[in-house]
Amino acid sequence: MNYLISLFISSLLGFLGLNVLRSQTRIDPILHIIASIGLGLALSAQIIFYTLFIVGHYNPTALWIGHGIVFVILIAANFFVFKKDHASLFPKFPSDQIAWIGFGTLSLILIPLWRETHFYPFGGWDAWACWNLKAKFIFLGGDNWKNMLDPSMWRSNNQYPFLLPLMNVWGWNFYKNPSVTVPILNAILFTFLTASIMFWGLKRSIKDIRSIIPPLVFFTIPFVNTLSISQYSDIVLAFYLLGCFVCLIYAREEKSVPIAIISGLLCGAMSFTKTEGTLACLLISGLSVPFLLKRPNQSWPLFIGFLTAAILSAMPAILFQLFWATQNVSFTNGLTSVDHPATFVRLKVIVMFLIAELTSWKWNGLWFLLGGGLFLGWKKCFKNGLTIIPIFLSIYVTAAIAHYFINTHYEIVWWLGTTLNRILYAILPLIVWWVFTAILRHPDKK
Amino acid sequence: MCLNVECQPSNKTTINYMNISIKPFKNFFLGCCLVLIIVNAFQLFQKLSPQHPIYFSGLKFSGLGEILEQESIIGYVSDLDLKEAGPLAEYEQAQYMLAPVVLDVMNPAHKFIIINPSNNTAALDKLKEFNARPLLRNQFGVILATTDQSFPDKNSKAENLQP
Repeated sequence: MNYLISLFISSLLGFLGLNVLRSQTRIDPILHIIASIGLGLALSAQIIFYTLFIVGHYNPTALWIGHGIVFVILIAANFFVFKKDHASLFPKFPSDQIAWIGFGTLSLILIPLWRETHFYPFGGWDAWACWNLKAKFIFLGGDNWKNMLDPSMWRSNNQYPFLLPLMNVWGWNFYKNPSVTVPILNAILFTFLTASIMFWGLKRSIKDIRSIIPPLVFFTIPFVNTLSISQYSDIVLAFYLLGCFVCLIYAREEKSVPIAIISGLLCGAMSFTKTEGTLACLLISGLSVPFLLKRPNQSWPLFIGFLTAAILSAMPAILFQLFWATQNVSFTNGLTSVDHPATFVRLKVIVMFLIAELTSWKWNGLWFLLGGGLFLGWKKCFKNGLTIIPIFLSIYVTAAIAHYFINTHYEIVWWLGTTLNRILYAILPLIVWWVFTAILRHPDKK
Repeated sequence: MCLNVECQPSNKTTINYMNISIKPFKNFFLGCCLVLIIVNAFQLFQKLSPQHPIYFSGLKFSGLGEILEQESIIGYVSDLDLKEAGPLAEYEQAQYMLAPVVLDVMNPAHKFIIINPSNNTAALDKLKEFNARPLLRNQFGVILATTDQSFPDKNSKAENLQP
């Protein structure tokens, strides 16, 4: 119940924020709800970040004042905008049978998630060694919370941004203790949100019930189920990454500035999830230049809307990098190191491991299926606005491989074995959505 | 020879690819997806059926935090090899359980030290080595010791420590 209250408050702020955008153009009510929850939680987390920045420690009073100020501003903005435009204050929910059946079917994935969490209440290794540990430092540490950034805490990836820990702190604020319930429910929520945006993103294009197939294909894989409830930041990254691309492509197709702003907000929020999220945010921002400004679809308002929202939403990540980020002591430059050089053998191991990972049966043949889909929709995967996805994926994966190659601090087989599957897991929802969209949407769809 | 999906102007999803209709392939692809969903669901059900025991090493360190409320950093020592996954996991979970206190691993130069020994003999050896006094020992054999000889020990619960 306490969690639901925290979720309601965050979602309400998200809803009111997006409602201001809705006055200009129609926003699909389903997207409105999904984005309200995702961005609302990010907003609550960012308010905690700013209280840490200003007050110096976690302070519930400052937190409530921050939420109160944002609430008043958003209510005033809604009042002002809707009084002027005479539009309906609340979005109308059309009777959409596909949506009802789709979300009804999708809710089935909650059953295994919910049941499995009972046997995995503390999550995976990085949940207690990194994400939830950071949340405990912020929630219980008082002025000493910054000890989590101490170089001696390098095992907890102290150079990582911490959006998920702040979301957990927001939930704990309602329990008055670091309850395991909050990280569990946040993991389930973001899994469901990712499945929902995947479904909605495809349904928008093909307008039929087959849109339910990709999220079911992905989230029913037992290994994916385990990763989803591991309370890692990867599922949070996966949601913002997918949401950002779905909205960016949607914004370009519809020439909708409000959707471009939503995309930018999701992109900026993603930058504070993980270092990979920061990289993805920078890449997408860079790729948005040709994507939104290239003729004949050139649209400066879309680009300005996207970029402004992304910068605004990425402020915590920027401030973190400027003031708090510690040096990554778990980095050894293999290109210059004599003791731990980056060798050709290392590169070969990385490539071999990647191939072994993609062909591993723990994914239940998903990569083979996606490979078949890519072959089937080869041309459509690279046109009509979808081109940005393979370009992004190519650069992102190349950057990941380069990082594995250059950073020789860790023994490579162990490092790949513990992290590569999670890097793939975070980008898989985007890949699944991309391939299915290319195959299923109408050839003439622009 | 048509290689382009736009070759068919009709609204139907039939696509020619080297004069072969791709629609059957698309249906085959969707059929594979449905098979995969069924296989996944079956495996998921099988995986969920057994009642897995919950094991979390961090519980081994419960009950040690009360004395440490005012501390920001303490030592953590063990005779176990922290390069191995098991002992490393115990250390990481101890850190999680005792946060926001920082556990300075293998550094006994602090007022308080957590000793996570493999047995009582190892525990006594560590106490002797660091000239530390046990303050508390929980049911899992984990010891909270102090190097501060003036620290009061009237609440000490470590008197049962025997080699």
